Amino acid sequence: MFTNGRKKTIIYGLLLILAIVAPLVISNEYNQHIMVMCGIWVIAALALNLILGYAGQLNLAHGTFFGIGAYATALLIQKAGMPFWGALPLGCIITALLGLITGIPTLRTKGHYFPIATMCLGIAIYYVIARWDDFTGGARGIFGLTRPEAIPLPFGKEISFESTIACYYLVLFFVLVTIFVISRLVGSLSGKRLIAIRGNEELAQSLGINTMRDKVICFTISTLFAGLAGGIFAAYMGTLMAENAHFLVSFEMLLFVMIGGVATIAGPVIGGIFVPILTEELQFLGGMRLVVFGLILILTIRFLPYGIVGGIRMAMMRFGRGGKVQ
Amino acid sequence: MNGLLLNVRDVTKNFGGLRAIDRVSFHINKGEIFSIIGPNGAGKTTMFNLITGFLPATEGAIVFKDEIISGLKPYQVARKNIARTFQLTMLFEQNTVLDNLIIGQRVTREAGVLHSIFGLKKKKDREAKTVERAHELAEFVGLAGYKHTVAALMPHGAQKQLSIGLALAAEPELVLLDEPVEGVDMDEIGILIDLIKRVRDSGITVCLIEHKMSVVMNISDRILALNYGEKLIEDVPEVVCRDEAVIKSYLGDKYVVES
Repeated sequence: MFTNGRKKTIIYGLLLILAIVAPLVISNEYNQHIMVMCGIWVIAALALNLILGYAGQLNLAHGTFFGIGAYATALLIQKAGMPFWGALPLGCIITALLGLITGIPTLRTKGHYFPIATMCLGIAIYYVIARWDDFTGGARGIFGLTRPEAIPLPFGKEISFESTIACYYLVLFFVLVTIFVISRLVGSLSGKRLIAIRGNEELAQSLGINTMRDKVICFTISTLFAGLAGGIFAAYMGTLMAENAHFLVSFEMLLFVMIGGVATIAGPVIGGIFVPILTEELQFLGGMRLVVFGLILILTIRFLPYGIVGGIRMAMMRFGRGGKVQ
Repeated sequence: MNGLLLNVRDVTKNFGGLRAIDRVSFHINKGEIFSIIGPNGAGKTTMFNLITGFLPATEGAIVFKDEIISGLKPYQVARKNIARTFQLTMLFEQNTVLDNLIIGQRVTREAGVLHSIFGLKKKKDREAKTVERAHELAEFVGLAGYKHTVAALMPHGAQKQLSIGLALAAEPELVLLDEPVEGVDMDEIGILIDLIKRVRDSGITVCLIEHKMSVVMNISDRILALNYGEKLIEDVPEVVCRDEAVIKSYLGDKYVVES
């Protein structure tokens, strides 16, 4: 129930080594760039999965909170002149605070109304960002952000983030932090409460669980990490467009979680890597790419309702090797 | 019987123009099995919802151990040590029996989020304890053979047993069981009656809603009969089953004359 098998630890260890070694093998700068982007999407997808997969609340403003994190960090760097290392945590806190403030009214709604309420929120915030020329740069966006400052080391050395490969390791570090926090949370007794809320909110209340409080906390943590992904995105890309905070970004992240597998830690990681790479590979199709994506999504929902991870688990059970049913 | 546990005083519940509960008063003593009976629509489940905070009372007061609990939210009532089951058996269907019984525990609802993320040894011990207790609970309600089964995949009777286990998980002083033997076969009724008696014997006060008169008369210490939201009688089974108003509401006028 709370224990992880030794086998799992070994597999995760090997995957971590693979993640560390990968950019050394893949020396192509463009591919390294895609790997950085994958890392950013993985953080965002893990965060969305916390509120969607575990607490069962479909937040359609998740992409918006990603955008808020990105803009908050970028504006703190550019307008307030803060260093990246101060702007990023503060950007996350601002995002989480907005998550808290907007979560309290929206999480009161039940059923389909929560996705509708959050989508409206996302659309509204997008237009604020896109039209507020003086503050956010409006449709022109923000340009010329510098990369994160180098971290000084003893003996006059430093970790510089000018190269893509250095940014990759920076992102990998934050991916690991996100995985650590979220997996610890969902694997704990507090995580059981989230699962209870997803399962049956009324029953959870009858057992003394303050479901509203837990939903708000979960939503706030989820938006905090969405803001983290956004903040890293802003500093890495150096430019921000209103499109980055568009409400359709939420649906892209939803795609990562759905295809990877909801309510698992591995799901959003796989989805956040697999889907963006697939997007790149299908570039040659141009507009037809979206048709292919639609087809993939329909097939996934029809045949793999619990995504790639759910499919692997089912296959393992079928071949009698044990596995858990969610 | 050693003292008053729950005291319902002149409680009224209106749904718009419909009066579902009309100035009903009754009390439940510590350590007894108390039953609420009445035809469909008599207001039994509404009374449960009023006690547990799922519905606000229009008038009147509900007092639990010298403390007014009417007006509290459902989770606050539960934290006063009142647990309940639902008429349409509610469980965390996608989870195993053990996971259900872990979710229901007091330790689970009290676990802090930060401690859950960053806690070390103490957190592990606490989690291990909940697992241990979930095993005990599963055995107590007679589900030793189903511990790792997903709740939705169990037979109806076993689900009823689990719903009682879930209500017991947080160590309540009073459990409210809404039709605990509804829709189960004769063998399973026996298992459930035995379970309810064992719950009472373990020191927990039981209040139940039931339709099957054979069950009610057999296990209840005292009975409250409701009809159209009004109290007919509150007494021991021997008196209630001879009461004219009860017989009339349940069986019709003719039977009063014949008996």
